[in-house]
Amino acid sequence: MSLLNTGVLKVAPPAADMVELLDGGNSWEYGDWVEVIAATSADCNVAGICVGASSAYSNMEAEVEIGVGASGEEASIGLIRIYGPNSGTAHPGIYLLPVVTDTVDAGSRIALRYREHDVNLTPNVFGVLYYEGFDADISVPLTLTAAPLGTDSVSFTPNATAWANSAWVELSSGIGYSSLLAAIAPSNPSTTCDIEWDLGIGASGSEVVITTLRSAMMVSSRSGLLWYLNLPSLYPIDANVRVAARMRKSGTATDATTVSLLYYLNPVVPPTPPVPTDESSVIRILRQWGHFSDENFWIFWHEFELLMETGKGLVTGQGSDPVIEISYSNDYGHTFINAQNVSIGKIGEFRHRVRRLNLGRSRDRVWRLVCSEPIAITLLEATARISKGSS
Amino acid sequence: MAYQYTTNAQKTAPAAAVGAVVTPNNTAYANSAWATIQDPMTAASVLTGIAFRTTSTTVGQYEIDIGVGAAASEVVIATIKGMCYTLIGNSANGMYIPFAIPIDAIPNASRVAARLRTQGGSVTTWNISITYLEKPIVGSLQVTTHPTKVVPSAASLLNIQSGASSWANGTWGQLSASTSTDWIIAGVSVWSEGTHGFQYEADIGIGAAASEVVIATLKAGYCFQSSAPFLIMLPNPLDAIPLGSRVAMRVRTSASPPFHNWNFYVGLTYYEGPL
Repeated sequence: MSLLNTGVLKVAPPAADMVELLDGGNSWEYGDWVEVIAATSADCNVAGICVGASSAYSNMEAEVEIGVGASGEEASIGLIRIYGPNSGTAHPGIYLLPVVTDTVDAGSRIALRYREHDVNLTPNVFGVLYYEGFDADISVPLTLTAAPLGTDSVSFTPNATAWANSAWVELSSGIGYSSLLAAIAPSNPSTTCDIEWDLGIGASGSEVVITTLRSAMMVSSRSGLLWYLNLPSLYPIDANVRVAARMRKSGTATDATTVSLLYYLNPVVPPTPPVPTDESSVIRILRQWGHFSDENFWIFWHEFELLMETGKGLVTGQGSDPVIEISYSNDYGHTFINAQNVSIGKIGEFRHRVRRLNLGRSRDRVWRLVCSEPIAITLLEATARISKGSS
Repeated sequence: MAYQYTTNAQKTAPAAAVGAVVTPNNTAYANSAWATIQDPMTAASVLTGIAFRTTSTTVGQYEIDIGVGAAASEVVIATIKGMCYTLIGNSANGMYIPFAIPIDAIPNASRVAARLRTQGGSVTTWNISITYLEKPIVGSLQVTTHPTKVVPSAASLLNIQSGASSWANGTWGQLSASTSTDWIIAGVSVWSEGTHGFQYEADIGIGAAASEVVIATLKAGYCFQSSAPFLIMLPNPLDAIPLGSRVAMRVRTSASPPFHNWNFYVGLTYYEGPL
């Protein structure tokens, strides 16, 4: 899997002023979708957005949603949440998604809409960055979203002692689906300082640090760009895991600070069952087909492939490298032979193929699947490549 | 669908302390002394990013080297290049540069240090720190042993001008006459003295003069010029510059005069390929 890409990075609208977006007139109310690309000229992957502030802002929290579809039928393919302290000293805004969107088909209309804490009477301007011919082995057809969503970020008071931790603040009490943590959108202290953020998971009072982020702030008055701070890579968490953050920094400033979480939600994958604590709690599933035969002629089995949801392994422990046992019977289902554990994909290996090759011959065969992994198993169908003998 | 991930906890150095203090050389683009960030590292690690700040109030193009090794024997494992435009007061919050492909070049028990080159004229200190992941990496994270490099190197960003009318292309400015290896673009520096309502597009092109082919375009709107770090890192490094390529950039702007024929300063941070 490689992050390298040779496709061309393009912008829209090209060689023209960016489109103007207004919020909806109330705090955190979306304005109208505004078309950025009427019809993409080729398949593309959205890389991010560009922003220019037409009017002054201060402590701006905003969400920009990327949509695909005809006017009035836009479907969100991602959302970027940004924090900006002061437009008076902000630099040009280019906000690239941690992972490009899944492919947007040629001919698609791409639009943006936007909302923020304040009501902005003067439109800000936005554009889209996208790749044509994107060929890195990476994309997620999931929606980048935020917590909190559509409301103010979580506010807390930093510790007055240099490098002493703030209290943990909850960013998410737990999402009903597995997710991938991507970034935080924080505000910053009003003085020059170094800053560290811990992200933790676990119940209140029992948080375990899963990663630490670092940044720096220059000068007073909360100057600077709209921004967010990426994790070093996506961090997968299981369903219903509480996520919290805490901050420490140099200096003693105690200005109220805010933070929110950006993450990819995986709504198509059902919540992962809890990891069993002992063998007695493992659920064993078994699926067995009927008899495959053709006039009692020999059937030569070249390939058997199981089409199922893959890449849903757990982060650690049992289920982190899940397998399914594939075996068959050539004696009408009396005995099953040649059992083999076949990987069904570690977490994120969504392109993993579950198949076996060179599987002998039979006049009658019954296929059997057995799995006792603590993950949700979704079987779609099975295919086989065979040839019929002459006797 | 495919993505990279890791469940390793990112760490920082210095941890829970101010960044290593680096005093710039007063001479333009002369190296500062190395300043220790951490000695020793407690595990073999990969470099994931650099955080930095300064209280200088002078215009400041910067190049930051991260090095590994004993004092006087440091080997550069990463360089970044950008701009802290601080003429009217330093100001910026996002002073962190992440590497999409972390650099796997920090041995266990090694010393990690930083040094700095600037436009000169200021000896106001900078603070530099790093983020890293200890090995082994759990997950599917791509890393490289190749250091990042910058162009122009140990020199000011390349000065080019926008076109003579709104959205008219400026003249291509050459960053490299012929690359000595493949270049994989990790980040792009674009800076100008823009202000509210000012928009630009910057093209990166390869090919002979007058035959440049655009391989990437960035677009943004300025809010004001006084900020930093003016270095946009690409989540997907662009592997589109073969060995022997001429590399150039051009810009165009939206605004009415005086922003036509407007000065821009550009550069690249890249890996030498193939990775």
